[in-house]
Amino acid sequence: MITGDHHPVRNAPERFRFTGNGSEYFGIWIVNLLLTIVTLGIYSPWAKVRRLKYFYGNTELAGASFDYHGDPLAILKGRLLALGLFILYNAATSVASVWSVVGLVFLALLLPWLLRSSFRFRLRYSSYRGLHFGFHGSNAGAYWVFLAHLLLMFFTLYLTAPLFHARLKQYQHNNSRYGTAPFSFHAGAAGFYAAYLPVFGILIAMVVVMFVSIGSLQLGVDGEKPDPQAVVSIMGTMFLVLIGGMLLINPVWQALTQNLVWNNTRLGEHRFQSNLGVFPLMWIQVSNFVLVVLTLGFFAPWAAVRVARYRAECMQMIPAGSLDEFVAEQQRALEAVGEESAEVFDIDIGL
Amino acid sequence: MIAGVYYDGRTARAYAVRVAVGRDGVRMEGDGIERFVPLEQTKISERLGSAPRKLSFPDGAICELRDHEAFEAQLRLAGIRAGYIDRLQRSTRAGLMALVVTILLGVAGYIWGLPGFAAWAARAIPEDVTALLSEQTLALFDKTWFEDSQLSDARKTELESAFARLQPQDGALHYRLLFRSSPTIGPNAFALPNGDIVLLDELVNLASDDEQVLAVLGHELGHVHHRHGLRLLIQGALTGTLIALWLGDTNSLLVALPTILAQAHYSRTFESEADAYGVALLRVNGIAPERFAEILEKLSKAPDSDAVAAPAQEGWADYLASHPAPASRIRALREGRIGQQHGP
Repeated sequence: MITGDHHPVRNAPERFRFTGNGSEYFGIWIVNLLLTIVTLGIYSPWAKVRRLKYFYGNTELAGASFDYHGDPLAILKGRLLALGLFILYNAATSVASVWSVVGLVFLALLLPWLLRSSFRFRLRYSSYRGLHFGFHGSNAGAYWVFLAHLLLMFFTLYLTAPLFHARLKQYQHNNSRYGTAPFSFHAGAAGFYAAYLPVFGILIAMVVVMFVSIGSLQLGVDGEKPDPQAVVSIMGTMFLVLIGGMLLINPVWQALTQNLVWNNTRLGEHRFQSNLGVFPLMWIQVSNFVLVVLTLGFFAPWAAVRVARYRAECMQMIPAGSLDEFVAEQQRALEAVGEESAEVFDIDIGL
Repeated sequence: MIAGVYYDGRTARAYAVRVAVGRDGVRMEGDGIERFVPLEQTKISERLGSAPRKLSFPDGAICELRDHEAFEAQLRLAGIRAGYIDRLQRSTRAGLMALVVTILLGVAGYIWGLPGFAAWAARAIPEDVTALLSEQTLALFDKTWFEDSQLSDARKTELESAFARLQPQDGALHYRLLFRSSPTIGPNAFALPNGDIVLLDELVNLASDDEQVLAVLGHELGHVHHRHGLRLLIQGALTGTLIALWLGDTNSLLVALPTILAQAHYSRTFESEADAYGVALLRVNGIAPERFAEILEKLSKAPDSDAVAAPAQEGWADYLASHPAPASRIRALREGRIGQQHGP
């Protein structure tokens, strides 16, 4: 046990807070958007860095805020390279030939390395209290997750999606550090299967409703023309159920997996707690959707802030001791050799 | 002096310090820290809303400041001006102007930019690529929707020679009439980017005379002449990508709907262009545009027709339709409002 006697309430949970607001973010967003448009996208890395700096900077924990330090030029280089690859890949696969197979295999082999690089980049350039995060996952680990388990998932028709998710989070959270302190992850595949159960349940219910309603229409066709009124009411019910399912499925998935992930993640001996709620999340998503549509997209900054605020509010850290004790990792020497490749690829992924 | 929190970059320990920014540098003291860093070694973070400002020093130490007003006052006194973009981001007027300009650019891009780019790109695509694309499309349709034509060889020759007499002048493109049948699709004709035009038996049977068939073929030739197929393909891909970028991390349904609306609008524009081309071609050949109006009328009443004339739709559904409402097309044809200015 750590003895931090200058901290009288050692184990009181520390809440994450998001201090930004929509109108102030709108001002930043719109200026950067316009600059991105008039430079035909070349400015977009700078816009991205400002966006992340805004969201990181407004996320607070225990009186300190996070920060993002990505270099826009490095991101630009990475994006140009990724764009080149994307064009090559599309050219290779647009015409059905042996090249489309070559393109697919090449991409499959490249993807794990790219994702690992982007994890490294993102964490390496994130900081809190002046200390940087870091990612030390191996290439072998990346191929094990993103090649072996991803392929397994496709071949099992997504039945192993929870297993893939578990391996992914194990790879990410067991290999991340804050300063020299390691994160660790304590949930196994069983936990993920339990979290995915309601998701699969909703999916199955949607498929069943679809089959039953289409089936009942088919029955009508066999005899005479089905009663148009019945068709309308069956189709109407079907669409309502399907839309309801679609609206529900994402919040359920997000809330259950996020809570599982963070409730089983530790930083050293410090723990986290996440209690995202399905219905608040659904309300935010649905109302954001409606408002973004009604404003032709200009509500987007407020929408992003609402999501960030709710997610932060639902997270807390349960310290096992003083947060002052973390020590910086000696990353300087590593930087020049190892991070070059990471800077080349900067992929945004919402894993 | 203003309150700040200093982190030395080696541990996560927070030091409560007092900070003074002057013309020569930054001074921090308190909690056992006493440090001065010259301005040229200090990085001052931009103001991003109410997020704390950060001073970063070469050794990795940072200082977080939350008293925005007092810090701005110190910066002003020290003669340190915010960067250009930093100032734009803070200004309400710049934000409103950016909003207006963004909307104007978006509208202009939708009306002129995208179609202009697609037209340019469609012409830049080499002939053998369009040929390959057309062959693959035809092969796909042959496998899924098309069946062999039931027309007699004599009838086919008759239609082919009538079609040849239309004589559209179109540079390198050579037109070819292909006969197919498709009970599922119904009366219809399709233009492929390489100049192949697929004529379905159902359309031939629906028409009361060959001039009506030629009127539809003239319309399809308009699609080929203006390279509508490729342009629509490019515009569709671009609209989808741009809208996805625009709406970003929201929702795939949100991306699909405006893409469909935009695509339908572009498609209707192309149909009107093809109408104009077809009618002008008919006039040159001494065929009355009324023939086209007649066949459109028949098509709009036919139960399963879709492409040449979408079935009658009203009201808001027009915005989803790929074709202009048949009634308005027929009216325009009969009032002679189509095909005056375009020559084939």
